Amino acid sequence: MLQDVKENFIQTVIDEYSNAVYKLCIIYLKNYHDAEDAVQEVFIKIIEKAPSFSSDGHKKAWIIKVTINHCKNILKRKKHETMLDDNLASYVEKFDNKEILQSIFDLPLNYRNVVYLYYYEGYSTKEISYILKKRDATIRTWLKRARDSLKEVIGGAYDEKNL
Amino acid sequence: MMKKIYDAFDEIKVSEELKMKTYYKIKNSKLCSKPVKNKYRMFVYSSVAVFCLVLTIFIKGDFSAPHGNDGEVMDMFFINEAGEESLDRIVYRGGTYIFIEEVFDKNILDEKIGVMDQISGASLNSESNSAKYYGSYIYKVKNVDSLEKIAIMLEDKIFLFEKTVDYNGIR
Repeated sequence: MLQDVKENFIQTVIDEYSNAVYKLCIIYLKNYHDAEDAVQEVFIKIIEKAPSFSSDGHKKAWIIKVTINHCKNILKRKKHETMLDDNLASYVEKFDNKEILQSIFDLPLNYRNVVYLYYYEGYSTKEISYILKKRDATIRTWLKRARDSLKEVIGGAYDEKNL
Repeated sequence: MMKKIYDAFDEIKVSEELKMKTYYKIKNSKLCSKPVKNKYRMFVYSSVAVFCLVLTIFIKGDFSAPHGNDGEVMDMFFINEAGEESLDRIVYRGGTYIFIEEVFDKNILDEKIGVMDQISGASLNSESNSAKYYGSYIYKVKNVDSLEKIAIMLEDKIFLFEKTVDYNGIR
């Protein structure tokens, strides 16, 4: 009985958050082989801790934080071993929006991370500042610079009025 | 711009194969204990459970302070199976607390749970309405049952703990 509950819990967590975790791993590591390994390791950590949360939003923010920390550790480790094998170009080739994705992945790590959390996950700059433990003003600056870089590729007007 | 970026990110999807691989990796890891297969194992597990229950009752009876909020930290750190010191679990007079999450700063805690309250009967630190033990600040979290949740400040980080009576890590 307990085993079934545990297995259901694992399945639910993976179904619900694997896409977000995978995207973040790709964004950080820029290598889909490493990202796939990282996803498995992150979920082991998540299940191991499995804290209780008052809301799904809170839970998701925690999972994002765990993923980011894990990816940072991988990057730190890789720095000492060898340069990261960036195999992203071949990975994005199959996508319809490959130009946009490639230009996002060409951004510095902090910028592309903020772009993902803001545009895809829908977090406000204040929420991102809590997650990344940076000042709100810093997040806004990163976002603005990222948008300026992306504007050349993507074009179009800004959709954000409050920035 | 927003929609284009959203659509681009939306194309990145985790494969079903990776999801299954992840699932089986977790399932086969030590984290997921195997089902009890025979009566002997059942007997051993039951004995451990009863022992833990008795131990819990004994410790609660022995150490419970007359006032719920009164007490001191018995052990700041919990030594996990790997022999590493961690903040996963602490023992506070009258109960065991399991680590829930790290709170990024005091403002967030204030927003989400309510203003932290001092633990009454504890010695006060002049700068903060907290009890101070072993260099840590311990707060009772307001708006929850007495001592159900506590917050501990360690090196400018706030850690939330939830009360448990279980010593096996099963919640």
